Amino acid sequence: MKEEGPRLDEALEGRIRAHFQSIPFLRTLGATLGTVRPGFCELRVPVQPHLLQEHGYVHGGVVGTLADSAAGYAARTVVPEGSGVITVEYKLNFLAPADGEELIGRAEVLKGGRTLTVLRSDVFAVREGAETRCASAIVTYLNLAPR
Amino acid sequence: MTERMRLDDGVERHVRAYFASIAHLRHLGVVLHALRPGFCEMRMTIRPEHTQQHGYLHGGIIGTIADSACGHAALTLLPAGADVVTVEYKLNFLAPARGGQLNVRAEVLNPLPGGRTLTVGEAHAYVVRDGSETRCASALVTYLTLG
Repeated sequence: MKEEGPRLDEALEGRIRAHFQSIPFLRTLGATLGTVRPGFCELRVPVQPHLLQEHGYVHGGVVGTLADSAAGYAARTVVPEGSGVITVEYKLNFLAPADGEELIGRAEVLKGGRTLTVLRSDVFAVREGAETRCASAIVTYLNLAPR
Repeated sequence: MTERMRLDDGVERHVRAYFASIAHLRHLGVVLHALRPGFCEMRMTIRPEHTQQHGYLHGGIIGTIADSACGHAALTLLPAGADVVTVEYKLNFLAPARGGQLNVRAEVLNPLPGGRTLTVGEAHAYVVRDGSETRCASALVTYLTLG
């Protein structure tokens, strides 16, 4: 996934960041919004004890939430101004235990359509500065017309 | 039918202890409501910190519980002490999760006494509002038996 790219319109970025702040559950997870560019978004979650499963790795549900949410904000960068988005479905494969100090979700638009946005979303676990991809998802979002 | 079979006491103790060891589910307030061979129901009271921008339950939590309920349904068909990990899941959102409680029922689709390498489960999530259930999401989940 490319790290470089065109800058996002400032007003759009402001709306996306404000939307992010309005989600109680993402606050519960301690998520922060990293880089947002046209067609791309990065979310970060610091690993905390209440996010773990029975083996001390991050619970897969948190990984799924991160994959879905990163995709949602990437989708918001390409839909018409004022449009909302909502998840239709996703398929998530777990590739490695989510073991580390931080999780990073990176999502990229594969196809921005009039009605549907299809995205690829990867989740990486950061341990001692090294990233391991722990899950990959294909996510479909429905574009909601401006109200 | 698996519904009529009784769960072995040792397996039931193992599955309940397994559930109790998952910090993230405890943090969310998830309750193990019912357990039978090949079946598991989990319930959760929806609280403000579980919500998204419209005040409905965040989809990430629905995925978390769908995944977990299938995992525990898979464990009921394995010997006491067994462990499973999620390989992948596909989650479709069907309606907004607007209500006070979430009930998730999961069933193993390929039950075999003694278990299998790969267990496939189906989970349906229902949101309870004014005493009636509305299906808000469905998932197909694949679990790998470890050991």
